[in-house]
Amino acid sequence: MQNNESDELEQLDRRIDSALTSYVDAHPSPNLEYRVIENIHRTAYRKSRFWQWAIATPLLAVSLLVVIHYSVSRPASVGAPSVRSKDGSTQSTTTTVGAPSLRSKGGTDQSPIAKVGAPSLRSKGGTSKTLTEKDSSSFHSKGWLTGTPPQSAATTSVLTLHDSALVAFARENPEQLHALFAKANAPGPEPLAPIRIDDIEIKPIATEDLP
Amino acid sequence: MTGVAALGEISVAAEREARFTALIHRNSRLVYRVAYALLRNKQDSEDVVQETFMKLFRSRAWESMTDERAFLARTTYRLALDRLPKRNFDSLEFDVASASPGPEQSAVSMNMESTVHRMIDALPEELRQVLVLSAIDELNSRQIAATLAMSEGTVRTRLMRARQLLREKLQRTTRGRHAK
Repeated sequence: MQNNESDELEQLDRRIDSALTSYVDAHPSPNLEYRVIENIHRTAYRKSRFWQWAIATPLLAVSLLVVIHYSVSRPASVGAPSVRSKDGSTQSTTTTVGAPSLRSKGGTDQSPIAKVGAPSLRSKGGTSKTLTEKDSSSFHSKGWLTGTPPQSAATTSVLTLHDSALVAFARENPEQLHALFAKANAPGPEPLAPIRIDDIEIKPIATEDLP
Repeated sequence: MTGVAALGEISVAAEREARFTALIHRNSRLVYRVAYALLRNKQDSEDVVQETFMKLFRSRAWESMTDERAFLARTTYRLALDRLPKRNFDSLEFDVASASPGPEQSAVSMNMESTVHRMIDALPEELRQVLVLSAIDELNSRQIAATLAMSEGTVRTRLMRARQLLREKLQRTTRGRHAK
């Protein structure tokens, strides 16, 4: 009787164990691991990208400011005719390679021909416009590269009172201006010849002849 | 930061990621089984697996764990518990009548295994959790105790109680079938 009961209990336990095994026996999707890993990678990458941008953005901003500051404070090229504007910044009509450059009120550099030869214009908003060969030849024909800026550019430039007075004087009295230039450039008097002093012989004083 | 330091940091991060990937490969099945044992839903269990590993990776707690199986089972258990439909956790009463199939159902369902599954489902939640976790090969009684945040003695007591209830219920069902 007891044996029957224990057999029955054992059988029940086996059934329970078997059912329990199948109860928890579940298999995930085959690509679950890779989905988890991919998710983690994506999260980690997003985080690192955030830090990259967080570091790179201020660096870029600082670099940009340095470049702008450098380009604004850089002196005009030697030999280029320059016009001083109201705010005191220099307006150079010729850049390093001879391309005329105009600096607007905001201090931005407007150069019809870029330093490397590619003609470009920078507008007020800072956008750059590349000029065509036609534009370049137009500038040539207008005499930009020969050092004689066109009248329109001169008139549109903002001059100080002192500069305006000088310009007005030059326009009204060209002869006098030429005379002044000629006088200024005229050769000076002949340089003096060096004074030559012949050797002098100083004899010792003869004491015998003294009275 | 110097270039060497940046490279060092990158290599440490890569090494950390490789270790975590290995951890996922080692334990994803266990995590899934723990989640599935509690939730009995494939989609929910996979979501819990994702959530578990993501939470671990972010918290970096996995780097200092001593028993990774117990730690993972515990984390999974807690996350799965949030998704578990609310049941009467306080009651240790096992309503045998509610778990027993009706006459038509018994006639249709000759599969003893599915009958036992329904019985397990009908167990009080605290008994069911101990029972199903004990069926997961990868977990020993100490790890189950750590997972459920209780003593090993309590785990053993609840396990015995759960099995006893199942035996009684199963006995009645089989005797009823034989009587018919």
